[in-house]
Amino acid sequence: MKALIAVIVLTALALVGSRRAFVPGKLPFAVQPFFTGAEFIIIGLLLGSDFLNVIDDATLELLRPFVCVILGWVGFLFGLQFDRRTVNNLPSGYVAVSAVEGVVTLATVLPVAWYLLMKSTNAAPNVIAIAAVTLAASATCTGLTALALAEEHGRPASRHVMTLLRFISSLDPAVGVIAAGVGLSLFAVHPFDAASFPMTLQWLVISVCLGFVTAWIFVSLTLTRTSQAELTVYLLGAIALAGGVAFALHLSALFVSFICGLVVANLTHVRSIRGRVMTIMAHGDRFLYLLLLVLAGAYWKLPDIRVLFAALVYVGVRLVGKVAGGYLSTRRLARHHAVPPLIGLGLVSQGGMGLAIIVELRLVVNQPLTEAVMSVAILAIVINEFLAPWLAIRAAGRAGGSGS
Amino acid sequence: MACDPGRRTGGGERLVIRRLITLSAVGVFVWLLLRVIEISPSATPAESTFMLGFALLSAALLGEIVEHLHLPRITGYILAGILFGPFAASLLSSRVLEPLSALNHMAFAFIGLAAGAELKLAVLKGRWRSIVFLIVCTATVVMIGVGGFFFVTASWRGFLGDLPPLQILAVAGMVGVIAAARSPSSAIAIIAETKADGPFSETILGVSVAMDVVIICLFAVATAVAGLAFAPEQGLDFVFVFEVTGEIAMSIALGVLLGAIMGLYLKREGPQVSLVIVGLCFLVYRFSEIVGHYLEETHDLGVGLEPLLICAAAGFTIQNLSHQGTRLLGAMDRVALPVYVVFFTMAGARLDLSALATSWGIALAIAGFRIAMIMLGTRLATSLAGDPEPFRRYSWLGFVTQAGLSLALISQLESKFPDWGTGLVTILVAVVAINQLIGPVAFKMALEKVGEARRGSSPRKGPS
Repeated sequence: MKALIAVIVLTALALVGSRRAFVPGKLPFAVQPFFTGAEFIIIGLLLGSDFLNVIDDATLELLRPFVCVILGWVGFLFGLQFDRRTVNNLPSGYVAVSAVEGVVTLATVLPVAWYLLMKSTNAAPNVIAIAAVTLAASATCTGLTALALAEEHGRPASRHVMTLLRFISSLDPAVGVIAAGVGLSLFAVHPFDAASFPMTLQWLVISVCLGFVTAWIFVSLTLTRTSQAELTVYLLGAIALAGGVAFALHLSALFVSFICGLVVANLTHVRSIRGRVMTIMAHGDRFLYLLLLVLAGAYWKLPDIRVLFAALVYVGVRLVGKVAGGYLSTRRLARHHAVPPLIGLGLVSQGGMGLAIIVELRLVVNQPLTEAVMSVAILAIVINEFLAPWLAIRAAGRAGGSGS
Repeated sequence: MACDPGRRTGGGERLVIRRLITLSAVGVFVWLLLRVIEISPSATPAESTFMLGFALLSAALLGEIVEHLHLPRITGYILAGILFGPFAASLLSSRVLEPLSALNHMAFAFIGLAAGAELKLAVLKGRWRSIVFLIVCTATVVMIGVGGFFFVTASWRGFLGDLPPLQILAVAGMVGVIAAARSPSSAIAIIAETKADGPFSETILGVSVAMDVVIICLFAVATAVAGLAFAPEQGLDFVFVFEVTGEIAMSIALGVLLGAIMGLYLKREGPQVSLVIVGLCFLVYRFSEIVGHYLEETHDLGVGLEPLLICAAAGFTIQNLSHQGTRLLGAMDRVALPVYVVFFTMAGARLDLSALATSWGIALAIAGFRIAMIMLGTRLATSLAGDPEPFRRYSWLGFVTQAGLSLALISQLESKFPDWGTGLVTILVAVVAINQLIGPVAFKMALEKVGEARRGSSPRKGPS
């Protein structure tokens, strides 16, 4: 009965949410940060086993194949956006800025997370490693909702800065997805020591190969003219295959399907297919994203005071990484455009990809440490979503309203 | 299910070869992966997801291949299930399929909704004579004919052990009812695939859906009579008949209510209609299951709700009472193909080929006799209704397929009569397997013969 109620509630929430959520301007700005999507995580937490127990552990287990497909969907769609022609048409230097910002954030969070986890837990070294890498990978991701709110409610900001922030937010999750993929490939189920390290590298190669093979299968199926219905079947088949294989091998479904989407997007003869695939995927995107938010909340275990403390530390270190990353990555651009030094403040929202990375960790490595890490990260995401619109306005405002 | 008209170019053979290469590559890829992945006694959700992906791809590929051989795509999906199922390559083993059973039930409910939505009252009103005659004549002729044939062969070959003639007759009655069952799911899938539209397809679909209700009632009566033959001291078990009648009435009422609500949702242009429909079908299946468990545990009743009937009634209500049928069918069309692929591939994987292997002779004889009776029944019905010649000649081709309902009734038979039911089940499952394989081909052929299959849907007719 619980499963039935859970499915009814989930469907209703996703339906209502897909129409009502993320639409700036309907509420006063002071209230809007509470409704940037994080509220669905809270709803999930309330429906989860720690409170109402509507979405209990058995239901979550029942929904696991579905979550596998959602994660594969998210990764594939993200990879599909990296079409070579589209990327080449981006303003000069934006890709490099996004990559540098992401890497700096990753490099800032990773050692701190690793050190603190080593000091505070007695989990196996490979589990500590994967938890630290995942926290850092999730930290690199930036969401777009806060920027939309900032644009709606903020002071007249530099158009150039807002465009730059939007591009960084769209592109920097790639660093996170790659880091999560590498992390899971290297450490998820294998011993962590210097001697076995070269052997574990094979799983990274396998991850990449899986992405290429599923992309090849998908592309070879679309070589002849296919109807939209057939394309949907092939797409779902490729996503389920890539995501399922990745999970079965304890690899990252996000990373494998990201590679798959990336390869599909960049094969010349499937350009026309890319648009059609995007149309199919856009149709269910918001619905699936909201389901992911609610399910993430249900996976989240009731935080205790240590988790709250750890989340605050995580938010702080990530903020330092974002500000440092934003500053360092935009130095070259700053010679030609007015770029505020604290542009990183506009990148605080962690977004859906950051959450997907954390959910994936929980599904692949089911250990007490990863459960705790998930609680820390989700709490941090909620805090970040709340702070992000204000900080984004501050970041954009620093440009001096040049409107350039 | 729809195909792009004109999507096939002249190189049909090349396409088939390409598809075969891709299919082989996918098969080898999965086979290699299964060597790497540690196989656990119960499949993990990840394994099932991965095999779901494989099932979708391989079945869609085989569907395309058989389409070039002028066969319906669902035959390809069923073949994929057989080829990769537990009795052949064993990639889609029952262990892997188990976690996906909810998906299968959801697909069944979805097909019921589509079948109901395809039934337009305005068309059916004009065809009611044909529909009634077809139901009455084919049901009667097939039940008496196949039942009689079974009685004679069972008495002669003795595969029911040493049962007295009266009890063999009672069993033959149940076999006759099972033989009269059809498959609305296959009918709707073929109609969708061929984009058939017209009185012939409407009639066949109408008869198939209505026949489901008739068969469920008749089976209840036949089981009650059989119970009397086997245990005369207990008297006629009318309770079971009433239970089944109540089950049907409740299912239809719930379906009408659901249809009215869904009609309102469609009228108000609610968002994500396709996903809502899929979710709704899942809810109907789960709700029916929960009600069934509840009635069994609390009131010791072996009945529940019928998801197919609920959804068919809901689809019918949306089409004919809320007048949102076009919107519903449009939204369903967007997600229909993946649903059909999953449903028929799983149906193929579940086909018990070992049953066919052990009793193919008697199964073939029963299947052949059943087809002959269907021909006789439809000829009689169409003559009485005054249908045009193409109807008289080709109607029988639409009623060959058997699937879900027949298998459900067979399993009921086994559970009610465990002493001798198992041996009979093997034969009856083999008959269903034969009908499931040849039925879709026959119905597609009929739709082409009467000219209701749209030109673009057939590869040989598609302009380049």
